[in-house]
Amino acid sequence: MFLLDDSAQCSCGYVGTYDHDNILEDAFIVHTSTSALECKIQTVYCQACINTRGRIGSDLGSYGILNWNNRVGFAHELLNNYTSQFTSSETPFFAFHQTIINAYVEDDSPVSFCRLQTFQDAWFAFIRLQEIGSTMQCPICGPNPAVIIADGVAVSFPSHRVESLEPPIISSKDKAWVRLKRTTMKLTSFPGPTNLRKSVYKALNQSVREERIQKLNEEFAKFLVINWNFSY
Amino acid sequence: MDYSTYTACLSAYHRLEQSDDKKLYTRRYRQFLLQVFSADSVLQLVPNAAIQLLQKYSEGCPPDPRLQPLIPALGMIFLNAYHPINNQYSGMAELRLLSGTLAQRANVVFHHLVHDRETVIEPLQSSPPTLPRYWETTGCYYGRPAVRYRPYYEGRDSDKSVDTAESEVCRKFYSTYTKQSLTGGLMALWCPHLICLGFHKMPHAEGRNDIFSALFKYFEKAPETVIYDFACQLAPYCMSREPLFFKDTCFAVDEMHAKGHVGCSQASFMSNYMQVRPEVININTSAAECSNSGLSRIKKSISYMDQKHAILYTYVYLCVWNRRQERKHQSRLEKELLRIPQDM
Repeated sequence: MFLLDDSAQCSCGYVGTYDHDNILEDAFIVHTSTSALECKIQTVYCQACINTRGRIGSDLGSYGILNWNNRVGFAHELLNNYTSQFTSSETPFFAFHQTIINAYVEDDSPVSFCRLQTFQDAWFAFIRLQEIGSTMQCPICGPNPAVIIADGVAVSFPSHRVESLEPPIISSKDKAWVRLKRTTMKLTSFPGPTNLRKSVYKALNQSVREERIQKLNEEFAKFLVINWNFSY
Repeated sequence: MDYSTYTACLSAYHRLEQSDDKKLYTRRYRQFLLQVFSADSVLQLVPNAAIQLLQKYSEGCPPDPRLQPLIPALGMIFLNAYHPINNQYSGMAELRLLSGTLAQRANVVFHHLVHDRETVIEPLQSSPPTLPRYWETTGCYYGRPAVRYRPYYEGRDSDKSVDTAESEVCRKFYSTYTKQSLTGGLMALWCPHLICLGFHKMPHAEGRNDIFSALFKYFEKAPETVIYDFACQLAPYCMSREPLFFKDTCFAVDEMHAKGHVGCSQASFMSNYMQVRPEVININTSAAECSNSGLSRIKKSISYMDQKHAILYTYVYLCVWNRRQERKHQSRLEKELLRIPQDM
C-alpha cells in the first residue's frame, strides 16, 4: 500500500491541503522489466479540479516508481532499462515493448504489459524529470577545443512535423547586419587567367613524367604570350 | 600583371624534372606548385600567420621553423632540399621569389576580406538570451548559451538559398537528405576524444552555413583546426564572412573523405598537415564518422517521431554517449596512474 505523503500532487499541479476523511484505496499496477506487481495506493479528490475528477496521489519517486496516473506506475528500473538499450543498440520502442510483453508471458505476470503508446509517453515524461544533462564539453579539450570535427548525419524526422526548429543559421537584420561588398577579385594563389591556371594545374597533375614535361612545355608558351603582352 | 615569379618557379621545376640527377625534392616541388595553381584560396595555402614569415624568407632570411607546419608543402621542400654538410638549401632562388609574391597576394586578399565590409547594425554586446530547456523547442543544444548573434550578411546570404555553392570546383551532394518528406538531419560537432560538443536539428539539407553559424555563435574563440568532409568549401565560406574570427583556423578534409575531392589541392587535406604537425598525427579525424555510425542506432526511431520527441530522444542519446566516453577516459586515466609507480 502506497500511502499519501508530502510528495502527493494532482496532475493539475495542486499540492495544497486535502480532505483526510475522503481518502480512498485503489488498485495500483507497477510495471517492472519482468512482471507487473499488483499493489494498492491511497488517493483523494483534488479540491482544485474536482469537476474533472482529478485525484491526488503520492509521487512514488522515492520508491523508484513513476506514478503515471494513480492506476499505473512504471519502475525506474524498466524506464532506465530502455534508455540503456536504445543507447547501446538499435532498439525502437516497439521492439523493447515486445520484449517486455514476452518477459511478462514467461514470468506469468498477473497483468499484461501496458499499451505501446502509454509506455512511450511514460518514458518521455520520465526523461523530462531526470537530470540527464551533459555540459557538452570535453574534460580534456575544455570550453574552446583546438580541434573540432563537424559532420551531419541523416537522423531526421518527418518534415510535416516540424514546429519550431531554430537552427543557428537563422539571422536577423534587427540583431546584426553586415554588408559585404560585391567583388570580382580572385582569391586563388595564381591571379592570372583561370584557363591558364587550370591548364597548368592539369599539366602538373599528369601522372606520367614524360607527358608532364610535354604539357608543361606547352604551358610555357602561353606564359610567354601573357608576359609579352604585359611588357608592351 | 607580372607572372614572372610563377614562370620562374615552373621553369625551375621543369629543369628538375628533365635532369637525370633525380632530386629528392622534385616531387615536393610539384606538390607545392599543384597547390599554387589549384582553385583553392591563397589563404588556404598561406594562412594569415604565415604571411610575415614567408615575406621574411623571400627577403633572404633562412626559412623560419614555424613556416613548416603552417605551409606543409613548402616545409617538405625545405626538409628535402637541406644539405646538412654545408648548412644550405639547394635550388631555392625561384622559390624565394614566388614566396614573396604569395605572401603579398595572401596579404592583399586578407585585407580585402577584412576591410571590404560595412557593419549596418552592430551586433548587440550582450549574448542572446536563452531560457532553460529552450533547446527542447529549438532543437539546438550546445551546452552553453550563444556567445553572439549570427549577422545577416548582405551580398552573400541570399533569401532564396542561404548556402549556394560559391565555387565552380568542388561540390558535394547530400544524396541521403534528398527525401523531401524528411528534415535535413542532425549537425553535430565533436572533439577528437569522441565527445559531442553540441548539435542542432536541421530543417533542410546540411550545408556550410550550419557549421559556420554553430562555431561563430557558440564558441568564444575559433578552433585551430576544423575537420569537415566539405572543408575545401567551408574555408572560403567562413573567411568571406568572418575573416578575423577564423584567421588562425585551418580547415581540412578528413582522411576518409579526401579521396572524393578531385578538384581540391592537398592544402585542404588533413594528411597534408599530418606530415609536419606532430600534434595532429594522433587526431582521430574520423571521430565524427565513428560517432555518427552510433547515431544511426536512433535513426529509425526518430524517423517516426514528432519534433519534440525527436529532439528529446537525440538529446538523451548524446548525453549518455558523452557520459560513456567520459567514463572511458576516466578509467583509462586511472589505469595509467596505477601503472606509473610500477614503471618507476
